[in-house]
Amino acid sequence: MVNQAIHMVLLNPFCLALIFIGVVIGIIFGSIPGLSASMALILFLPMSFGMEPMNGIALLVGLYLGGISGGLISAILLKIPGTASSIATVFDGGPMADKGEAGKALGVGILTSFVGGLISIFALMFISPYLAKVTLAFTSAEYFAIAVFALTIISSLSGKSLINGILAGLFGIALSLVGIAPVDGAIRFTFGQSHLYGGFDTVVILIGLYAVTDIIKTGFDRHNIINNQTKYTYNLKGYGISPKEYLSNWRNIIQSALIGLGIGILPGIGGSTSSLLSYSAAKGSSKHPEKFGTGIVDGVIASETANNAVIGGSLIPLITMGIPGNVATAIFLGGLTIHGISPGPLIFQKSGQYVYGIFIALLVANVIMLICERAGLRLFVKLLDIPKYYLLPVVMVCCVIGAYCSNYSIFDVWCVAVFGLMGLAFKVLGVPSTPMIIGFILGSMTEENLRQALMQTGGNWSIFVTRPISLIFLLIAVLSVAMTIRKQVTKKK
Amino acid sequence: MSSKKKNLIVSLVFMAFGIFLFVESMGIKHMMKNDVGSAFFPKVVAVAIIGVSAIRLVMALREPEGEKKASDNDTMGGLLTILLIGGYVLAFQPVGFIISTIVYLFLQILVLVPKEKRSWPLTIIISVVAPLAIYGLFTYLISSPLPKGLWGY
Repeated sequence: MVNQAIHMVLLNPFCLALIFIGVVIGIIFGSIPGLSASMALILFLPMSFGMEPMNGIALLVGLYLGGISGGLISAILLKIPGTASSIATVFDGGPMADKGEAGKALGVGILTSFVGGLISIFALMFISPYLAKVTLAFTSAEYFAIAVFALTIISSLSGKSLINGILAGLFGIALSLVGIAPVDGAIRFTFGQSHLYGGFDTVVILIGLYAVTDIIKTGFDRHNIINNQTKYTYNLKGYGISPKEYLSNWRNIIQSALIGLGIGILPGIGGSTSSLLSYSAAKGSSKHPEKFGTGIVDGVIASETANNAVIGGSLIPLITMGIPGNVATAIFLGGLTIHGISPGPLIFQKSGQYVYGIFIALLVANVIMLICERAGLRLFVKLLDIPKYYLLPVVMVCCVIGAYCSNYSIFDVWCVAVFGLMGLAFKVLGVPSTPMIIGFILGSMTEENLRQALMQTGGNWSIFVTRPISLIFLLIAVLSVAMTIRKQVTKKK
Repeated sequence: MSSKKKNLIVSLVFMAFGIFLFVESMGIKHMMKNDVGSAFFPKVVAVAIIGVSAIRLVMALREPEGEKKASDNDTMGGLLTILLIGGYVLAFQPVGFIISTIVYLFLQILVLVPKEKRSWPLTIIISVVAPLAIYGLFTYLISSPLPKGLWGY
């Protein structure tokens, strides 16, 4: 199977070209504030449907990796993170640019993104086969418990208001109920619309909430559309840092990579948390914490290592259990299933060649990113000047095509507009929309496994607490809820 | 809108939705003997939504009457954008991809572009070239057809 994978990816020039294109477009989307890695994935998902499975997946791999890596360019040169995962890069990358060290910050950022990505890809390659073996023993009871645990993580995605986040998550679960029910196939909540029998498409909801909403918001904010911020100039030789200086940060690098990896594995937390968390961890364990925020490479290394380490981490639960940890992997899941590759414990037996193909594509994409982002830096920096008033309308057109091509149904196109308006209402009212996506994806998994487990036991609920793994996950879920509530209560006081 | 007002709206809208969900779930028939049925989980979710939105309501009522935040939103720009997107998705199939997209892009760019930056030639070039390029890419390169509409293109 590994041989097959090498043939499909490494020895296939077309596939390599697609990874290259994916990385470059990903970097562009990642670097321009207002466009995101998720948006790049959403827009190119329908294009990947028409390709050979491995080629389509390789394109998505390139986009994901490039998108996360591009955010540092604008985080340093504009002091605006190009993607949410680069928030913490601004803390030290910005001050470095003030001191005239923008070039060094960019070089180190690119280099350390590569290292963080590499560590996490290796972790993915070594952990997932074993995890898949473990999950083989899982029954519906365990999957139900894992889904419940994953749902409790919504609380960490809720931003300012926990309770609004929970409501959004529940609303997402409610949306997942539409269509043919699992187990008995009852048709529910379709209101006589045959389009709704299959339920809502994840892609459609994602396009609406993440792309269309942003474009409408730009309309409300059009007098701020011209970028007034100053763009820093930079000069850079090589990667701007000597191997010795870089390696003197080894503790920080390993710590940040592990934080990114862990955050990636846990469902629902995502890149922005990982960069913030590893930044504060690096500050906490540093010998000179007072220098953080004044423009030192340590801060850039912490943030950029961690956000790229999320990539490999987030693919671990996706491949072995079909649980997407963030928006990007949710789109990835769509890309896999459309090609008949169903993630889960059996994926190594059933579609092993594609899994190894994903590993190889990730490694290739990581190397391409290291070379291209550095070599094409001048070009990527220039692209930051493309006015948004030309860019966003074209993105909107691509959104509509994306929605149309996922099922060739005009109904999906209308849904995109409706979800876009819904996303706008959520934004105005201060309800976060990411919990809704996670709720939507986990909702059907929760219900299906709950019902299957109960059918096996003839309606005996004790199965969830008598099976040890299920019990452990439910206990962690209870613990995580209790801790979040405690944190909220102490915050109020 | 003050934060109190927003939270009140959130709680009431979600509560109404929860009640609606519960009522709708009551009509789902129980089909298999051993199964909890397709109405069970929706009812659990509905009760949870009603419960959480009730907490939201109580919390919102206790909130002090906050000050209104002056919004610097450009209502006209937003509404026009919504209108254009609505029109575009409705016209997408009956009118066809190329024509509806040219019209949409042209108008949307006009809405977003600040007056002092407006450039007619560039606007026209983008709104004609982009749809044609995308159409070519999808129909010929990835052979995934886009709606042709009334006049066949």
